[in-house]
Amino acid sequence: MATLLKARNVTKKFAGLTAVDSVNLDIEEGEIVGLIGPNGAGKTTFFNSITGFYPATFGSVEFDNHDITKRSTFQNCKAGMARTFQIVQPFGQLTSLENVMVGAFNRESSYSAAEKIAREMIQFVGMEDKMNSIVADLTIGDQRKLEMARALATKPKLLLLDEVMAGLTPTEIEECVELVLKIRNSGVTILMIEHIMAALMKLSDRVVVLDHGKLIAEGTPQDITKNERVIESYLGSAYKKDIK
Amino acid sequence: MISDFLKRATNSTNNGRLTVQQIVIICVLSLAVLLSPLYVSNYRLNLIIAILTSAYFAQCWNLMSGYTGQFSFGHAAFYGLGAYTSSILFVDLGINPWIGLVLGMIVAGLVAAGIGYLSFHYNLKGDYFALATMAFCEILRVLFKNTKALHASSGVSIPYSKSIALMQFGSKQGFLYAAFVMLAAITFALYKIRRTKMGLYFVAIRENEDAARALGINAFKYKMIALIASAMLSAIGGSFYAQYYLYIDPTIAFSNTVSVSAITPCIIGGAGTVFGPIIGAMILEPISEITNAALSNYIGMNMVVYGLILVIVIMVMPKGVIGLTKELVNKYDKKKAEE
Repeated sequence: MATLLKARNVTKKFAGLTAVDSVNLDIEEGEIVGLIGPNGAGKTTFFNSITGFYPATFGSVEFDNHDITKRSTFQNCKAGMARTFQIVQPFGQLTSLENVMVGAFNRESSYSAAEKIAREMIQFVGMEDKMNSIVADLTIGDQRKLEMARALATKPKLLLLDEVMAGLTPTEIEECVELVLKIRNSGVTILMIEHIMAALMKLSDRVVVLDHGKLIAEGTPQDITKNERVIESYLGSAYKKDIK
Repeated sequence: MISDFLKRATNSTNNGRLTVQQIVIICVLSLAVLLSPLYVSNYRLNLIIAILTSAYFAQCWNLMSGYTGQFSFGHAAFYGLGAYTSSILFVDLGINPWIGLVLGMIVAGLVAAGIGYLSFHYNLKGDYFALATMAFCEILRVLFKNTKALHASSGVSIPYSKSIALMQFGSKQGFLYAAFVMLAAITFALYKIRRTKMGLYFVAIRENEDAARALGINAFKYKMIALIASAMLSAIGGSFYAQYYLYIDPTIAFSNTVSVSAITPCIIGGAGTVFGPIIGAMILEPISEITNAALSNYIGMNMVVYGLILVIVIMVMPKGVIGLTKELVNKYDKKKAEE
C-alpha cells in the first residue's frame, strides 16, 4: 500500500510555546488513523500545520509524493486534502446545497455539475430533506454532517476530521460512526481527532497519541489502551483497572 | 395575501430564479422610470437620476463589500479617479470622454490592484481593511488637491455640449436613460454572477474565509477580482457624474461623503442582496432631498437630520429593508401556524 502522507519532524512554535514537537507520522492509503491526546496536546495545531493553515516552523510534510510543506491551504485542497473544523465553520447564510457546492467547485467549474455533486454528497450524509435550509438554522449535528459533505465534495484523497462527534447525541454518534466507515469504504483515507473513545476505538485501524506536542505512542487501539504512558496522560485510571 | 406577496418578493432561495412577484415589481419600477419624463417635471427628473446613479454606485460597492464581505470606506477613490481621468483628458488633451471613461476604468483598476495587493497580501481584514481604504482615498484627495498638473484645488470644469459623442446625453432625459441602462446592466450582472462559481466563491469568502480556503478557494485571488471589478465599475459612475454636473474638484470627487454614499443604500436596502441597493437608494435620496429643501435656512441641519434618520433606520433594521421584511413575514407565518 502506498504512503499518502509523510510528516517528518513537524514542529510548530508560537513564540515561546512549542505546540507541536517533532512529530513523525505516516498514513497509508485507505487507513483510518485516530489522533488522541489531552486538551492542548497540539492535535488541532498539527492539523493546521499539515493543511497549511499555520505552516510548520520546522519539518516537512509530503502528500501523495509531493512536498507540501510550504503550500497554502487552498493548494492542499486542490491536491486532495480536505478537513473539517473543531468548531463548525459553516457558510451560515447560505443553503445546505450552496455550502456543499462551494466544495464541489474544487473539481468542477460548471454550476450544474457542481450542483449535481453537491446533491449526491448531501444524500450521502443523509440530509436530502434539508437541501434548501439556511445552514445557520440547522442543529449542530446536521452542521457537522454537512461539513463532512462539503469536505467530501472537494473529492479528497485524505480527509481530516477534527472532533466531528463532539456535542452529538448518542444516536447521532452512532450515525456518524456509520458515516465515517462509509466514507472510508468509498476510498478516502481518514485522519481523525476524537475524544469519544468508544467511537474512535471502533473506527481506527491505528491510533497515535500526542501529549505536550510530542507523539508518545502509536499502535492498534488494543495496544494503545494498554500503554502505561497513554493511560497516565490521557485515558485515566478507568483503563488501568481494565488491564489488571 | 400581503404576507404571501412579500414572502415571494423577498425570496432569494428560489434556486436563484426570480419569482413572479419579483418580476412584476421590476417591470413596474422600470416602466415608472422609463416613462417618468412624461409625468414628472424636468426639475424632478434630477431626483430620479440621483436615485439611479446612487443605486448604481451602491451596486459597485455591493459587489466587493456586500457579496465578498470586504468593507471599503474609500470607494470615492475609484469614483474620483474615473471622474478625473475622463475630465482631465478631455479638457487638457481633447481626448474623447468615452475613451477617457475606458482609461479611467483602467486607472481605477490599477490603483485598486495596488491597494488590494498591499491589503490582502498582508491579510488586512474587516475594520482594518476598511480603514486602509479610507486612508488611500485620503491620500488621493491630498495628492489631487496639491498637484498643479491635476488642476489642484480649483478643480476641472467641463464645457457643456449636447453631443452623445462627447458623453453628454443632450437633455435630462438622455442622462436618465443612460443612468437607467447602467443600473440595469450592473444589477443584471450581479444577479447572474450569484449563480456562478465566482459568485458563490465571493459569498463563501464573506461568510467564512477560513472555511473557504479549506475548500480550495484562493481567497486572495477572488478578493482581488472583486475589488478590481468594483473599482472599474465605480470609475464609470465617476465619469458619468463629471459629465452630468460638468464640474469636479478634489473635495467633491474624493470626499468621505461620496464613499459613504456608496455604502448607505446597501446597508439600508440589504447588503449582499441583488435589489437591496436599489431599495436603499429609493428611500435615501428622497429623504435627503426633503431634508435639504425643508431645512435650507439652517446650514448643516439637513445633514444632522439625515444622519439621525440613518441611525434610527440602522437600529430598527440592521439587516436592511429586505432582511426586515423577511423577518416580519417569518414571524407572521409562525404566529399563523400557532393559531
